[in-house]
Amino acid sequence: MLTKEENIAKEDNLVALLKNKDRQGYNMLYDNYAPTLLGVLMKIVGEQEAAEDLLQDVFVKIWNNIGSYDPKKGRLYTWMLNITRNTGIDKLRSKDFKKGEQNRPIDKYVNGIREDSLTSKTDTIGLKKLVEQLKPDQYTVIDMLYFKGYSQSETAEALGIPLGTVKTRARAALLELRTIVT
Amino acid sequence: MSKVEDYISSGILESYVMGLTSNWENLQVEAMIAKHPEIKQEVEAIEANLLSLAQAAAVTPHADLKENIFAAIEGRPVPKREKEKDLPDGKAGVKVIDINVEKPAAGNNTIWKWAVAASVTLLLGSAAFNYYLFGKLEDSNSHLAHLTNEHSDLNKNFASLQTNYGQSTEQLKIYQDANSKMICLTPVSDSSSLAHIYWNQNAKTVFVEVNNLPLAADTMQYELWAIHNGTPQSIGLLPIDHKFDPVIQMSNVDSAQAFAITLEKKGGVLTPAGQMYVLGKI
Repeated sequence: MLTKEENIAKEDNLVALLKNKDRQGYNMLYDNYAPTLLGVLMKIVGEQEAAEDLLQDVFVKIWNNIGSYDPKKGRLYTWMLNITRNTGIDKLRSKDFKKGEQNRPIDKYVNGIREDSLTSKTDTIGLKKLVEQLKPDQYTVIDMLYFKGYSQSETAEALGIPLGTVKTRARAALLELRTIVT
Repeated sequence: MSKVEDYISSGILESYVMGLTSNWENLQVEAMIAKHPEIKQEVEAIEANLLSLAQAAAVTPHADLKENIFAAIEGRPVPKREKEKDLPDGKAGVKVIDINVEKPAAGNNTIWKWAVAASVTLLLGSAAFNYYLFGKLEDSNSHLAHLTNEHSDLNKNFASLQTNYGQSTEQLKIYQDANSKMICLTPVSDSSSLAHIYWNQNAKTVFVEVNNLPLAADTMQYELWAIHNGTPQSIGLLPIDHKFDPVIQMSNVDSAQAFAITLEKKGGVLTPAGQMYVLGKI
């Protein structure tokens, strides 16, 4: 396993390649991150074919906008994860998507984790294992904020909790995950 | 708890990494990161944390997705993915032929019908497209004509502005010339008349700036005089169109004690006979 410094040096190299529109760089990017980004899109839109189409959009966005990525503001993968989430969430909110899918009622969340958020796909077993160790109310907040595109105030309203609690609960969930992963 | 710990435990850093903060909050967080190494460290931990959350959900993409993505970013046409599951179940790719029905003649006929229909469609399509292109061409032509007009108008405006600018520059030079003497010609008979003389006593040049003179009759013309030792000498006529802007250069003057403008017969006279309008003594 690489040290944190080695990881950052590797990422700096990758960023330089990407900014030069170097094909090898995008190859590395794809090989290292496509499954992760696709997983995020799957969590958001729920269907592999739609998620793969979106992943294509995500890579085009990375290609077009890499010039505006500023390493001082965060790691490359955080930037890519946010582009990916926004792309998925935009799709989730778009008209043509809602037409195909029953509009998901917000109050389904009140009782905890949604059924479909923990599909039994083999690929997501890792997530399921991870999430099983979280308290349901903690995971719900992360799921809504991170994968379903709810704003913090929407999450607070849907769950009937104060805005400050949304923030601290998200933090508690991530702290819990931190102890599980490391 | 310290202020920094409070800040960390408020949960704002998680929101920041998830991209849920406003632009204003982003600036605040970025300032805090720059200032406090603990906060920077915490942000990095949250980033790693969210990465492992995402990685736990990883899904292996379809084998040809990579090629499609490279085609998309390099602007090549993206190959259409085969969608077996779009076909009705069980009938995927299998053409069903009813062996009981045999209509070869009708089939032949059908081909011709289709061919004719296709040609007619193509012809109509082509005609419509030509019509459309012709319309476009006309639009472009009229647009071009419009632009050409606009261009020539702009050129005219520019030329006139350039003239104005040249005149103003000249005028400014005259006003600013240290050797230039300004003489104010004040009214003699008509109270609103006014003019100024700029006389460069080194170069002997004389410019007149007419501020106000009454409109002259068609048969009459204003004449400018330099008066030396009591004797008026004509130094020129003012334009009959009454356009005196901005200054008019008159004949050179060696020496004079006064300047005056009188209204004379059109074409001017040798010695002033008409009414004096303005007079200025040096």
